[in-house]
Amino acid sequence: MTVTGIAPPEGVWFGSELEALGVAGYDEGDDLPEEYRELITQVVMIQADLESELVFDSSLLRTNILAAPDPRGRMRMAKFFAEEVRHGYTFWRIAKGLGVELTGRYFREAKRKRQEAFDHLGAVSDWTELAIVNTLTDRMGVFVFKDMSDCSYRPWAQVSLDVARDEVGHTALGYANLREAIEKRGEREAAQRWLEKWYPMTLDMFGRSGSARQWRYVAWGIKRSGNEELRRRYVAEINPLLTQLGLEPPDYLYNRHFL
Amino acid sequence: MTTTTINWGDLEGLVDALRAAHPRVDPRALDDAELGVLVEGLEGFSASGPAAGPGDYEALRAMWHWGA
Repeated sequence: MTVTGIAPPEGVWFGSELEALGVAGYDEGDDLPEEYRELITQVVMIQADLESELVFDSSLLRTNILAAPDPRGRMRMAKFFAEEVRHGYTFWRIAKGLGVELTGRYFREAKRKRQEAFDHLGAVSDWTELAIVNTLTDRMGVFVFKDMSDCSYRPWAQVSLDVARDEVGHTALGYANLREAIEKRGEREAAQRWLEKWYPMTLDMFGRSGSARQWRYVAWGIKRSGNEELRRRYVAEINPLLTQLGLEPPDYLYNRHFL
Repeated sequence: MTTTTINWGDLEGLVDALRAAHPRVDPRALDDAELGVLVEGLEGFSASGPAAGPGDYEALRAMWHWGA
C-alpha cells in the first residue's frame, strides 16, 4: 500500500473557483453555487455528527464525566463538555443557516453513513482510553479547524479559530490525563493498547489521500490543505508527544482503512 | 529571595506562579516556545536537569487552563 496526493492538481489553488467567479466569499443567506452549497454543508454536517448530538442526547456526557477517577477529573470533564455542547449548538445553528434542520430524531434514526470512529466514540468508558481519544482526536480537530480559519464561508471561518483554540485545550487535557495514568497509575501497557486502536482511526479521519473531493474544497476556498498534507503534519506533532510517555506510535499504515 | 527549581514532573507550583504573573494569558493561544519564554521569565524559578520536552509543555498548558 502506498500513500500519495499531497499536492493539488494543476490549476487548483486555495479559492481558485472563487477567483474565477470574482467572489471573495459567502455569508449566510447568500445564493450559493450548487457545488459550493453541497461541500460546505458536508463540512458542517461532519462536525455536527460529532458534536451536535450532545445538544439532544446527554448520555455521552454522563459516561465520559463519570469515567474520571476523582472529583478533579470530573470537574475538568464537565468544563470540557460545556465547550463541546457550545460547539454542538454552533454547528447546529450554522447547519440551520444552510437549510438543514437537525433534530433529536435525526441523530436517533437517520441512517447516515458514519465513519467507524464516530460510533466508537460513544462507547468509551475507560479513563485511560478516553485520555488517548482526547489526545489523538481533539488534536486532529485543532489541525482541521485551523485549516479552515480563513474559510470562504464566513460564518464557518468565524467559529473555526475559536473551536480550534478550545480543541487545543481538549487535547492538552487528554495528554495530561494520559501522562498521569501512565506515570502515577502504571497504565502504560493499557495506553499502548488503546493507542493501537485509536491511532489508525484518527489518521483515517483526515480522509483519503487520493480523494478528488478534497481539491474541490481547496478550489472553493473552504479548506487550505489536502487530507494527506494535514495528516503528515499531525503525525509530525503527535509522535514526539507519545514517545515522551514511552508509547510507541503504530506504523503510518497500520490498520488503516481509508488511505 | 528563595529560588525554586522547576520540576517538570510536578507542575502545580509552576502553574500557580504563571497564573499569578500572567492572569490574562490564555495558555491555549501559546505555542511551546512562547510558553518557554514565560517560564524562563518567572522570578524565583530556575531550570535544572533535563530540558522540557513537548509533552511537558502540553501538560503545563492543560494544568494552567483547566485548573487544579
